[in-house]
Amino acid sequence: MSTIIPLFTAIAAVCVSFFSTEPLQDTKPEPTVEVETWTLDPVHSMALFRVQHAGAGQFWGRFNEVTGTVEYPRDHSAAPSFDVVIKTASVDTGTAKLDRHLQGPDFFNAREFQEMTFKSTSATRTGDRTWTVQGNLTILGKTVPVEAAVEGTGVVGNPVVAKAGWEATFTIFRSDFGMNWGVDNGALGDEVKLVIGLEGDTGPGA
Amino acid sequence: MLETTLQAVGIPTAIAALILLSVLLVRGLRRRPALADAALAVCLPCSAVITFMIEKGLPTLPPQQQWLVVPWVLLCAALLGVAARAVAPRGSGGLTCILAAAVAGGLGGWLLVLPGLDSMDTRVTLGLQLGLGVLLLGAVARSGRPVTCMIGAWACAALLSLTLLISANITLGLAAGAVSATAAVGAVGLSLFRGSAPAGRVGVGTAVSLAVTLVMLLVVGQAYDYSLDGIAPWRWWLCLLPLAILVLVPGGKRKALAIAAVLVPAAIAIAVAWPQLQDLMATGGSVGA
Repeated sequence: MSTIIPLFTAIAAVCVSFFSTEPLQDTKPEPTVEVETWTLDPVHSMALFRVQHAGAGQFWGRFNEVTGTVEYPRDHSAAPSFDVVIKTASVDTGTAKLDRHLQGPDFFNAREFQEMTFKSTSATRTGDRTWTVQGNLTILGKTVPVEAAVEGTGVVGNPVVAKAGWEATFTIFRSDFGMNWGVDNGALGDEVKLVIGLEGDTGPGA
Repeated sequence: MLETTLQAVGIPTAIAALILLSVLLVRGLRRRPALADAALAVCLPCSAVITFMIEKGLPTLPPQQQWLVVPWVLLCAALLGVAARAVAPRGSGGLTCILAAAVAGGLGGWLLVLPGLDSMDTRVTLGLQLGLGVLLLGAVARSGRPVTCMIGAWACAALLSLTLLISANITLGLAAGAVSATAAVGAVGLSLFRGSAPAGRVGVGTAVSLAVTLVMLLVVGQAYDYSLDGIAPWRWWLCLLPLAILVLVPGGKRKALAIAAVLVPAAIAIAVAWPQLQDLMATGGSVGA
C-alpha cells in the first residue's frame, strides 16, 4: 500500500500536465552557473572591417578602442549579451592620411559622432558555443537592427578572477547608416564585413 | 576619383551653364539685367547643392549630421540673392548689401551649430564672419568689373576646393569645385556679352549669394578640418584673397592690374599648399580613389 500511493500520485501528475492548457516553456536553457558581467579589455579587444575598394581589392582596417561589457555565464550555458562601444577616432588603416579621411565628415564624422555602439537584444543558440545574436548597431547616430554570428572562444581563470573571449562576425550595408560616399559610383563598396574580437575580465580590478 | 569629379562637378556645371547661357543668349532675356543677376545668384550656390545631392542624396530636414545643413544654407543663399536683387533699387545696391549681410550674419550665427563652434562667443564670431564676408565680397562684386569678379570667384572657389580636399572634406571640396566651374562659365558668358546690358555689372544678387556660399563652405570646412597637421586659419582665409583684394584695386581700364591682383594671391595660396597638394595627388585624392 505504501508504494501504491506515490505511484498513483506520479501518474496523476503526468495526466494533469498532459491535459494542461498551459503552453510548453521555450527550450532556451537556463544558465547552470551565475551570469557574470565581463568588462572588456581595450588592449585585447578590437574591431576589424573589410570593404571593397574600387570594385577590386578587399581593404581591411580596424578600430583600436573597443570598450563595454558582456553578460555571460562561464559554462557557456547561455548566450552572451553585449553592450559594446567603439571610438570612431580610433580607426586605423596603417596609413595616417587615410585614417583622417575615414574620421572625416564623409565617413565616420568623428567630431560629431565620437562613438558607435552595439547592444544585443536577443540570441539563438546554433552550436555548443555559438549563437546568432540580434542587436542594434548605431553608427552616425542612426540605429539599425543587425544579426551577428558569435562564438565563445574561451574562458580561463579561477572563481575570483577570470578572462573570457568572444568573436562576432557580421555584415552591414554602410548606406543604411547614411554613410554613402562612393557607393553609387562604385568607388568604395557598400557592403562591409565586421569581425570583432573581444576579451573581457571579471573579478576585482576588472 | 576622375569619374567622381566628372559627375559631382561636371553635372552641376553643365546645368548652370545651360541656365546662364540661356539668359545671355536669348535677346529678350539679355535685355533684362536683373534676370542675369538673379540667374547667377541662383546658379552659383545651387551648383554646390546639386553636388551635395549627387554625393549624399536628397537633403533631409532636420539634417542627420550637423554639416549636412550646408545645402540648406546654400539654398537660403540663393533665395537671399534673389530677394536682394528684387528689393535693390537701381544703382549699386549698397544698402541692400548691408541688409543682406545683417540677415546672413544674424541667421548664420543663430542657426548654425557646428562641432566646436556651439558656444555663444564662437557663434557670434561665425555670424560676424558671414556678415563681414558678405559686405566685403559684395562691395567687390558690385564694383562694375563683372568678368574680373567672376575670375576672382573662380580662383577663390578653386583654392577653397583644394584646401577642402587637403582637409579630408571630399564632398565639400567637390561642391566648391562646382562653384568654381560655374563662376568660370559666368566669366566666359559675361565676357562674350561684354557690350550688352547684363554685363554692365555683377549685381547685388550675385554678390550676396556668392559671398554667403564661399564663406559658408570655408567656415564648415574649417570646423571639419581632418588634415594631419591642421590647416592654419590664415590659410583658409587666404582662399578669399583673390576676390577680396579687388577692393584695393581701382576700377577703370586697369584690367591687367586687376587680373594680376586676382592671380598673385591664388599663386601664393597654391605655393603654400604645394607639399600637401603633391601628397594628395600621389595617393589619388581620397580613400575612394
